[in-house]
Amino acid sequence: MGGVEYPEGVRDDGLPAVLSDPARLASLEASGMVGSAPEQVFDDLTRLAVSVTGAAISAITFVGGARTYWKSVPHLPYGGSEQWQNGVGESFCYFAVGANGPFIVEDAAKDPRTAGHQGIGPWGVGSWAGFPIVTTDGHAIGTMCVIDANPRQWKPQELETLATLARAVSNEINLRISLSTAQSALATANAALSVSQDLARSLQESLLPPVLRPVPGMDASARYLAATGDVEVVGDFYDLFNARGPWWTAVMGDVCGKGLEAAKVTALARYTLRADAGDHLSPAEVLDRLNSAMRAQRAPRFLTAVQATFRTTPAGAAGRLCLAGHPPALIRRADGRVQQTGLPGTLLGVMPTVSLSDVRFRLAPGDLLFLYTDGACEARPDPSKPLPHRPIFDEEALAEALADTRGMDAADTNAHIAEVLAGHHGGWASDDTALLSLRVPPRP
Amino acid sequence: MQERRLDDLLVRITEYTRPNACVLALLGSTGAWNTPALEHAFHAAAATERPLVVDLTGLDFGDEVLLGILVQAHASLRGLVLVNPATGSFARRLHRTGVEELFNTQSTLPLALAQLPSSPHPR
Repeated sequence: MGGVEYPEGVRDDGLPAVLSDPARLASLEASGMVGSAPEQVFDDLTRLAVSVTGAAISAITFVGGARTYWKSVPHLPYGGSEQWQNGVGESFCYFAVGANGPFIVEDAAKDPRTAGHQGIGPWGVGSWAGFPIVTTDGHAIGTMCVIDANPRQWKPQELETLATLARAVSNEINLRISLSTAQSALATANAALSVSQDLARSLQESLLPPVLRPVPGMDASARYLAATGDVEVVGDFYDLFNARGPWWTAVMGDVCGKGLEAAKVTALARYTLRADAGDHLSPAEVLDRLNSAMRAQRAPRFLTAVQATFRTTPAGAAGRLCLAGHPPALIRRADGRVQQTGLPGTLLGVMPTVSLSDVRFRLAPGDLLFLYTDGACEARPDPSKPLPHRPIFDEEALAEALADTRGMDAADTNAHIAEVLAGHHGGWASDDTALLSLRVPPRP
Repeated sequence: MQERRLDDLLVRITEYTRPNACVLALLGSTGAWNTPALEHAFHAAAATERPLVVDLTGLDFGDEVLLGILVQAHASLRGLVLVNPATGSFARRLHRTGVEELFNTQSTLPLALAQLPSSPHPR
């Protein structure tokens, strides 16, 4: 036995060295064929090979470094994938894999390449013809072969058909490898997305106080409603903190856009406001400074904000409030009347000079100051859903909904508004929404 | 004239080029679902290197992203004129945010085009 030359040479055991090539073995592994059960798609091809050539047996095999795995041998009784494998040297398949080309034997006992081969006896090989199964990256990982009990001459058209069938097997395998690669890339992308979603959530949480600091003599509550399907960091933020002595500051802001750039501006805004609110009790002054800071730091986004600085008084609470491009604040009086508060002012981060004005406000027992971002006054039904068309839930609708909360505390008020918004947009929120309610508790 | 059917249901952007301007006519509503299309349209308009006229006559609703794009366009383009932003919720937004004065606004498209240099833009 001899006379076969392999491009990559031979191993110590005399078998082709390419059988142990790690790149080839990786392609074989990626095919998912090793140790796999028979499948109709392959059995059909081997049956076709037998009917075309009239050979006794046809097989599709996959050839590893030490074992050959018999994927399809429909003319022999199948005894399970554990049984349908043998040592790589015990059959002829490695010839075609080692040569990465056809291996054709007309008389196995007399052919000098196979005479005395250990596979002849057990398989009853009189003649053998096989073509390699080749992956898109050029590795021969198995064979499509036919075996006859007697010596015979293979006709050219039989070999041509066999080559075509081997290509069909290769195409099937390569499609599966592509699919598996795509699924693996998808899994990687999904894992990365999950990590980035976690990061976005934790960043968002770091930009919103988890619990509002209690303000002595006031009932405060905030609520954040995320847009439907949204996992990006969004630009809505709020804060409530002690500015100085008896003075407290409540702020609600909305940075245009989402994502990391918006988060950076949110962080800049929150910390600038906290730092400056203690020095200046005028919200207009503090927001003006924020505008300068955003311009100086070339903030990539603009923002709108409403800020109220207030203190409790024997009659309730009093303070000043400023709008910077933000929708007006609402005050719900104890009797249910709702009033808009604040004068239009310039949004922050765009203009070198801004026009901002403070207005004074007073809250009596039972009154509630309501700050919100524009998701609360622009709620729309899902545009991808069919009619009926509903108008935008605008500022007037919001004021009416707030009027209906008469007598409710801060948390219940926010909950009611959230429910009304959800009812309007039918569970599909087009924008994130933040709500902040500050109420002077009613006198007992 | 080029009309784009966008992948959403609510905004349609008609883009056409006049000798001295690129005109974007917005029809419908902007929102998170059509932000990419909106940004693409403005990006393509900027690439014409012509002054931009944005016709808001048919706009039902413009979100904060549209405002941001207009502010950005104002800062970076060779000229920006808004047509008819005087009514509707977007007019309220322009007023509320105090950036009305930033923009050159005209009530009709002919008036807007008349604001711009009439000679063809050199390419």
